[in-house]
Amino acid sequence: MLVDDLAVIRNMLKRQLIVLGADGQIDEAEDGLQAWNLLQERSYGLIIADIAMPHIDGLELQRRVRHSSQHRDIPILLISGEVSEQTVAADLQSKLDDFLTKPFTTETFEMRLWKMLKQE
Amino acid sequence: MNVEFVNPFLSATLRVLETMASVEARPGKPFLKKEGGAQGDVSGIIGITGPTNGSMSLSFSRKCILKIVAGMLGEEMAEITDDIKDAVGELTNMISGDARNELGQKGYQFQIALPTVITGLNHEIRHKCNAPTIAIPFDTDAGPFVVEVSFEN
Repeated sequence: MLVDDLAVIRNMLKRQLIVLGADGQIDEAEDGLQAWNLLQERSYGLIIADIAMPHIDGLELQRRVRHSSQHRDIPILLISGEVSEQTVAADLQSKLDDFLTKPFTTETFEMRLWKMLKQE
Repeated sequence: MNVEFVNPFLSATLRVLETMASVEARPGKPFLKKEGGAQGDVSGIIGITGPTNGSMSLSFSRKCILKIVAGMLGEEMAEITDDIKDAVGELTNMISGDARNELGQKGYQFQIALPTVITGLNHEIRHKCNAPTIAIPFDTDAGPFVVEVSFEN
């Protein structure tokens, strides 16, 4: 599932996933709340979410997923253009599945995804 | 204005367009901007605060931004839609964020605000301070765009 308040970014990420060979259903949500509602209906193999979003942001979505007995094992890749990876790591002091700062190349995106999915 | 603050925006612009849109931009000679009018058809501006306050803007020609967003999405774009405006906001965000990280590594800790996108012929860009504005013209195979940086002294 792709979670970002901007359709253009969801489209860009979707394209990258398809280029990388994603062949399953890719659902989209405009914010963390919509994503959380979708999670009440079905599960996902991977969530890619922006951090800065209205209603429920990416960090809160991640917290909810991690506290959910049903969804806690879903890998989550958090994306942001506003904070560095070091800032997030230092601020959170918690387990981040993975984190990517925009801009990133398709190669970096692919490497992160492989790393995350391999850990599963 | 500390000229040390300008270069990170130049390198961030090249990096973001190359990585996110596969667009090669060629920087021209920076100049001091005297008037408020934008030099493009769609612009993004963002406020920056920290050791000094200021703002950064991007102004794209129509053809140029259509090509850049086409590069991001992998599909041709024909007109300036809301998606294009969102992409300009996101590019403004990414470039200022990337420059902010580089400035942070040099010991200058800045915060960035939310971007605003402006469209329309001869629209005006109002920077957040009255300090001189440095404009950096760029050229791409699809046309020009301009990055402006303005910081208080």
